[in-house]
Amino acid sequence: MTDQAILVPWQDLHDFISRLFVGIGMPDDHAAQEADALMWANLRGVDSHGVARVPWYIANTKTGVMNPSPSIEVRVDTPAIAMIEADRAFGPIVTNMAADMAVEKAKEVGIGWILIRNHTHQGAMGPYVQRVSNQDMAGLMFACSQPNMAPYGARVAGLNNSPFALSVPAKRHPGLLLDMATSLVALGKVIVARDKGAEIPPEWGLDQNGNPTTNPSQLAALLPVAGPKGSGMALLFECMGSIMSANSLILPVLSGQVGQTEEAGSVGRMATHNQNSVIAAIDIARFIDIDQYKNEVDGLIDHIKALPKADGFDEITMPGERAQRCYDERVKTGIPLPSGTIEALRDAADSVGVEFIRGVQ
Amino acid sequence: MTDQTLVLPWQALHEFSTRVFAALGLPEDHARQEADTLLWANLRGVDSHGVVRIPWYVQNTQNGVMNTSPNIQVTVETPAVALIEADQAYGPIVTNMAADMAVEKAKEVGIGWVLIRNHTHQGTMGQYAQRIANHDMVGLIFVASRPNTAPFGARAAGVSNNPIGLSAPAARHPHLVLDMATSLVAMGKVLVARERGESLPVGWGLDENGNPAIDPKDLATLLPMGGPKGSGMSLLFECMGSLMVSNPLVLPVLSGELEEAKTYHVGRMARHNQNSVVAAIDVSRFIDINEYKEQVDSLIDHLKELPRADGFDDILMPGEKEERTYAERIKTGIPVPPKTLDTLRQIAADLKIEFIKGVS
Repeated sequence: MTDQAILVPWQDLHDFISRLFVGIGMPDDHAAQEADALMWANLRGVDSHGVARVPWYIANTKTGVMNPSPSIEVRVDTPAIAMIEADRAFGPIVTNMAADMAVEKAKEVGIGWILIRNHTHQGAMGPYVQRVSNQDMAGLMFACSQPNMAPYGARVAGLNNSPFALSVPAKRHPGLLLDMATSLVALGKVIVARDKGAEIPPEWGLDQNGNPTTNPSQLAALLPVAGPKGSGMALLFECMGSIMSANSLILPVLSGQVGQTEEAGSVGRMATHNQNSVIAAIDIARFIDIDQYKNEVDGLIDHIKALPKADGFDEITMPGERAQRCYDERVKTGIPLPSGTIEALRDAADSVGVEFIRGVQ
Repeated sequence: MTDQTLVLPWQALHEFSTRVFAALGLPEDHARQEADTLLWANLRGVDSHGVVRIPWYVQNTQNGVMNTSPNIQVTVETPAVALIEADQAYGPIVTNMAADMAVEKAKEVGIGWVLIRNHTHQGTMGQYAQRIANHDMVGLIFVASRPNTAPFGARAAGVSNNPIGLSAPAARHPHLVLDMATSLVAMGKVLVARERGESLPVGWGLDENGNPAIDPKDLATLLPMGGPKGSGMSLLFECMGSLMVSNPLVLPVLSGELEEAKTYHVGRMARHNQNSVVAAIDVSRFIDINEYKEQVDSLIDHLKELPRADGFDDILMPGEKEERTYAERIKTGIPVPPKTLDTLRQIAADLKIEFIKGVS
């Protein structure tokens, strides 16, 4: 039994995760992609979207919510857009495919806009838009899911805190990478507080009676960032993603057609996990020389970072910068895993019948 | 000198606005498009983007910042994307063109993504997003502008409060139209507070020393919505708009290459110039458009039926408040404050044109 956090080299964790997902029926390459997605998050300190999710993924696979051998089909395809039916595929597998397809189309006609229907958890948005920017393009992405956030003016959940990501490449600096939930705080922050037994600010969310709560275990609905702004964005994303792909995620819950249950890994009650997304790539080289572009992004970053700092700030950090620094460190020193996570992963290894993380008792 | 707010029929304001812009040199049709834009805003209660802007447009035109006879050119074009060089055109003229172009491309290949380089003030984002939704398409638009907002962690301006518009068509309900600045509050709210002599809440902006601005006249910099979120969005819009079209708007100011001067707004800003992206996605490529609109309508119905938070009588949809104001003001007229009336009367005198018909 572990009672301490331990530092695990990312390679060993990656190896374990891959073996685990092969063990539940994923092809080798898909298992590796899923492991890549989880490591992307853990290496960058987005631990809420890393290996802590694994027990939930395994449980979802056993109930058929997540499909380790999906029949993925391209249902709509033009030079600029496509729609992919994901058949409940694990998010990373179909989203990597969609990101690459977006890039290919953008090379041909300047933009690729790919709608992914009926997929499951992708981890963070970051790896996918970064994948697009690594190919010298601007990336845009958003994901839709079931209600967990109160629309502005409501006291219960009625929208998802749909995340939204934008990215552009640079040269000297890491590219800019914005990855943000449309709630005031990401659900991960609530879960971290809950696991620590800490209180949360009352602005974060509502309890099941619709009142602000400071107890993370009581939170039933998140609150949107900037009131009608985050709420409006989340609503439009549902219209641009879910309704567009004939896979509404909000309406079936609000109309009572689909029920909600307690779901491990979340807070409050949610409907059975399912998602839709949009990922797009815009080809910079259509409009401007790519090296000139990257130089300008670098120059802009330099000047913004040189502005006078607000009280309490040593530095003005760029979107994605903190994550990149965490990556630079953890790729060398290893990924800290709390004892609760270690135990949950050990249980997962046992239930699937694979050897645990190499080098860990 | 007026000392009363007058409630004026929109047609009278539209007619007057058209004559102002024609007198400045805009062709008849362009003058009308500009008037349409201002009245779109006033009819919907977004008065900060309505006729109150006329004096600023007149000043900008007279010093060459806004161009009444631009040489608008499409400099990049594919079946899906385009780049329009606007030659400092009045925003509505070139943005209506871009929106229509985006719609045409979306009809052909499912999406149109049009960049506009070197244009000037467009009024609201909402009208263009709505224009696209009127064609049964989903609209996306954002604008990049000069720094006026503090990046998260800074105490001086380094990004613009770049707005974004998103729209989705509905049938029974008005189209969903989201139009939002990436600052916590739109500049318009600060201007209203200034007019009313009210204090600003903490969190709206900073003075020139980087401390919270309480008196609206002291505001030098807005603050972003959601800290790093609005700040990050704005920065990425500058990169996806301005840097993409070789017309950086922020860097020349931060590097000192371009000077700032006192503005019509609050604080100091560099010479007005903008770039945008306008996009349309063709819904019917993915799903039957009538089924789509019905789903949007049902979703709206159900959201509005949710239990309300304290202090809320209604759960409003993006764009709904504006459409209600429109339904009222199109009948009862547009309230124009005395100070605005006086400024517009002066403009009419300077341009040697008749003032608003029916107003002394």
